[in-house]
Amino acid sequence: MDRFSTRFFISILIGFWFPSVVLAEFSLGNETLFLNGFGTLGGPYNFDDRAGFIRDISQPKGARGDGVDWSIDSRLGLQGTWKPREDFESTLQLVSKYRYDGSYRPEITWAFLKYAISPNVQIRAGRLGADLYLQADSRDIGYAYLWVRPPVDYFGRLFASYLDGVDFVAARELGEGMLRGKLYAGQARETLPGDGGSEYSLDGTTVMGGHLEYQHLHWLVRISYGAIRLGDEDPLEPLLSALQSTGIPQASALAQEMSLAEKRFNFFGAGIAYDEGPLQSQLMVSRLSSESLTYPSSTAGYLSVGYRIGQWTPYLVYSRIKSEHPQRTTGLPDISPFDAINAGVSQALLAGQADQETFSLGARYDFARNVDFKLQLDWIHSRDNPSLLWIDPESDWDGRSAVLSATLDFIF
Amino acid sequence: MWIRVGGLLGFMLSASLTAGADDLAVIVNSQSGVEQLTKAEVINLFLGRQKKLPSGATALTVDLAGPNAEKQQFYARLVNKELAEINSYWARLFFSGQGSPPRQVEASEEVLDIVENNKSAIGYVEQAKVDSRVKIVYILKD
Repeated sequence: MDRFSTRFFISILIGFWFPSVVLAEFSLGNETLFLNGFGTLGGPYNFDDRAGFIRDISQPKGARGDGVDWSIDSRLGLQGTWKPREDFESTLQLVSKYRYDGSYRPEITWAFLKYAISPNVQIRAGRLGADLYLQADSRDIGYAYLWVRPPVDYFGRLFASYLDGVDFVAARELGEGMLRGKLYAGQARETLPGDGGSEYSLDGTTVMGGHLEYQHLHWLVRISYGAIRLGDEDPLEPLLSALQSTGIPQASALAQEMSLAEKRFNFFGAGIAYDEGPLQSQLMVSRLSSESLTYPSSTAGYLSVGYRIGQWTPYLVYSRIKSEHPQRTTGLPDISPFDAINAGVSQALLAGQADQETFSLGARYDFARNVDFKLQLDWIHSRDNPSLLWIDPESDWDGRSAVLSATLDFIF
Repeated sequence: MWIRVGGLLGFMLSASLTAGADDLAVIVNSQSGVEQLTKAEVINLFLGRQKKLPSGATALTVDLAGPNAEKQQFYARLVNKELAEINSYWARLFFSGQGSPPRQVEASEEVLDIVENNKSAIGYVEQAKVDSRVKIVYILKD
């Protein structure tokens, strides 16, 4: 048996062993202190060894051939909640997952105080999940969704998962449904991996936004808006300085357009979900408009449909992302020392682009209490090489990969 | 062999008959100021979308813990969902700080006790178990 099938066999075995484990009850009694957790074990096998498959842009290395990559989807979270009164709550959540630096060092993903001004009006302050999209703040909780992972074409480009700040939620009854509005503002704190082991800190990045949603029995409709302003660090710094220092107006202008420092991004999103008995479906679209050529504007969306049959829920997902493809030249001759600058610029412009679609077929199997097993096959077609969503693709990669994933999700 | 099969069939029949005969009653405190709820209101309350009772008080929803036939019937009839789906739904809300699932208790008797002693509590029990201590605001028929 080769490495892939050995590991796969082990994960199946774990799947059979799990029902015998006594899991702590996912429930809250009348105590005031609760300790709960969630996790995912498993990962993708990329049949293609020419490009690294990642879940989102926080991951420094991807899955490429060579067995199941356990780093991409596996994670473990612990949450402590203190609720001394019905109008006050404090929550701390730690998550260990594959990070920008290649480690699994646990990070504080949530740490907030919540106060309910009235039953349907709440304010929270502290560290909060970034809620740019529906489900964006619960991407780590595999047990909470049908798929092995949130659709990469849609969620993969998000660069902040939590914010230090405040949010405000107000809800009211409207007809038979509930109308809910949310406003938030905060600072991003995470670090992203860059090319060749470099790192980019989001410190100083501010995010603010909100959404309005209406939930009526089986329907949920949401529109959202978010504005991001990056901090003053620029990951392309040496390159941009080199462009500026040439004194050529076209090169200086390009440096300004490519810079990320203090640039603004606007997110517009709209989504609709219909969830009726065994049927679960979602259609989401979003537009990111960018002021920087390095992380260009893009439009993304997905459609997901699942139907429960007994303990199995087979599902289909189609997702798509298309970014703009800035074509710029420095105006510098392609001779030494300018050729290095030209090559750097062309590489940086290509690294942020994405034009990709994915067709996924999978099933979630709820075989035991608070545990599920999922199997998913993705057919991905990237029309860009390189791409924002792939790590180090080889130059002869045709952009077509098939990825088979198996995971076990649990909550306790 | 015949006896065993017959016994099993009889058990299954009686189990399904029992389930069919028992309507589930959604109950509140008799002093709650709530007289009747619609199905949509019950859904909004038990799925944590609406956090207050029509009286204005913060609702204390009470649920049965664990794999339990009544609980399974309640969610099947209310929203046509399996318990795994209900747990999955709450996992998202709970681990993103949006709210906690209803208070979980072991037996219907406990549901009745809590509802009797708490003006803002709302729970469900088999209609046959309801007594004069609490008020029925909605009936979930089979």
